Amino acid sequence: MAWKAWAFFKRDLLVDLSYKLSFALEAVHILIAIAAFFFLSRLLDARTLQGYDSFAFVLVGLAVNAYMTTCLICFTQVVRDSQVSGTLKAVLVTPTSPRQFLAFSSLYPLSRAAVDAAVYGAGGLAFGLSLARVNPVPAILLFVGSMLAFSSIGMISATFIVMFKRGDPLLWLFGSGSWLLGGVMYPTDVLPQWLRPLAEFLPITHALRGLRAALLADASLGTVVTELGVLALFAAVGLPASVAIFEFGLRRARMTGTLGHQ
Amino acid sequence: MGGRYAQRAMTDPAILLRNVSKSFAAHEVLRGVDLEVAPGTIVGLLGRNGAGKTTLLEILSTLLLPTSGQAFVHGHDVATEATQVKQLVGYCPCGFDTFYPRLSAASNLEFFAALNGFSLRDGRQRLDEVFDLLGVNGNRHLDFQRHSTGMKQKLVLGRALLADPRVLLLDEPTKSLDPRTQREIWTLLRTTLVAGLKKTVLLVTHSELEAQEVCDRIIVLEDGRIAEVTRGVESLGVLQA
Repeated sequence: MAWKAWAFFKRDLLVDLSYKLSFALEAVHILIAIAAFFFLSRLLDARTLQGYDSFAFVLVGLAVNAYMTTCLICFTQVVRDSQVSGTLKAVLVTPTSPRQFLAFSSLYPLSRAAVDAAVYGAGGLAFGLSLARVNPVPAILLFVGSMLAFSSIGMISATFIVMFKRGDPLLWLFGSGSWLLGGVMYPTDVLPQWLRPLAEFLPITHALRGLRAALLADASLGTVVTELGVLALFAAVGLPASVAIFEFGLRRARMTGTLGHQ
Repeated sequence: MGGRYAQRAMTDPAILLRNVSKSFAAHEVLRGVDLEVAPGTIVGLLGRNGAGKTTLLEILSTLLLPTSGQAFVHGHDVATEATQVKQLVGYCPCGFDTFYPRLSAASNLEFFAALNGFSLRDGRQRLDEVFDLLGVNGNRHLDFQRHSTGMKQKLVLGRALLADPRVLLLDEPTKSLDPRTQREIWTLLRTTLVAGLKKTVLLVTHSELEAQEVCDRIIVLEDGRIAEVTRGVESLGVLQA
């Protein structure tokens, strides 16, 4: 099992390494975004951002939004790329279950998302971000919990790709909703009163609230236990449900003959 | 029914289809196909484009579910016992665009070896065996996309052989090969895999010559039905009509 997981990781790493420039371009892209928001943050009043330094507030928002996006799209990308390259059928005729295929295929993109989050941190340091008030244990738990919660949505959206090939409304709705309501760039308390309850149904809201506290305010595990609990609930309900939905989608594709259609 | 067949796996036909039909929306591709293939034999499947040959192979390889009827591989139902069936079957799809083009031939096959449960060391050893079996002498560390058509075709066949399956489902495995290499593959199928290793092969081909040279039995599919069954050396009336 572990070797099989490693085989998927190694496959994606080797393919990625064959496009050497992409690593450098991605890092440059992140650094440019950090620089832009650093200069923009000079115009903002720190008091309006829940007591956090405005640059640090936005930086955490950008980093979490970036890895949330990876968690959301990596599963659909894996399925779509496998369909287009013709490898989906070749993989599914081996004794590798659909859930293994999906889970193991996500290992590399999720690892890269973690590296990207670290690049955001490193970039932030270059622009004067302080790590003096980081509490690593709750931060790591929140990071893992939020990744699992986001991934469950990503897996459901992969089912749309299996069944309909493109046009995944879930990804669009969830990504846009998180960006607008989740508190990525501004605190959720600036939203109109009637919109605020909606934000509570999004995992990114809780991920950002917890991570900002753990990374910027030395929050203890007890302080962020509510956020951790909500993310764990999202993951505990979402992951089994998303795997079941994906397997249903595959079975339907085996029936309709659309498994490898492009 | 599946349990009864599982108990009799050693003596049952390697492949058994009972009244298998397959429709895609209103289009009926297979219509009540009955077929038995004895272990250790090679059966050719001929027919015009759209006759249902690939659909039949994809049902046996678990990629498709039959609309009605049942299909078994060594007693295991392809619909309800897909995991067991996958361990018995090696599938060679038509064409070779089923690899990672930027990975080397070796890396591609090592990946699929891992998916078949091989450790790195065992996988590499098996890879050497398969390359020897196929007479592959090209640079295995070259990107897949840079290999010749013939080499790519051999790699597709090699991947099907990786797990040493008891049943091989081959969809036009010699389509892109030169005549000499075609004959090498025929010898490999006939002499090494079927006569020597007692594999069962279901071979889809458009070549009557290939079917007659290689197969114990030839089945002609026409419009989703079995139109003719002949011995390898007999004439193929349906195709010639």
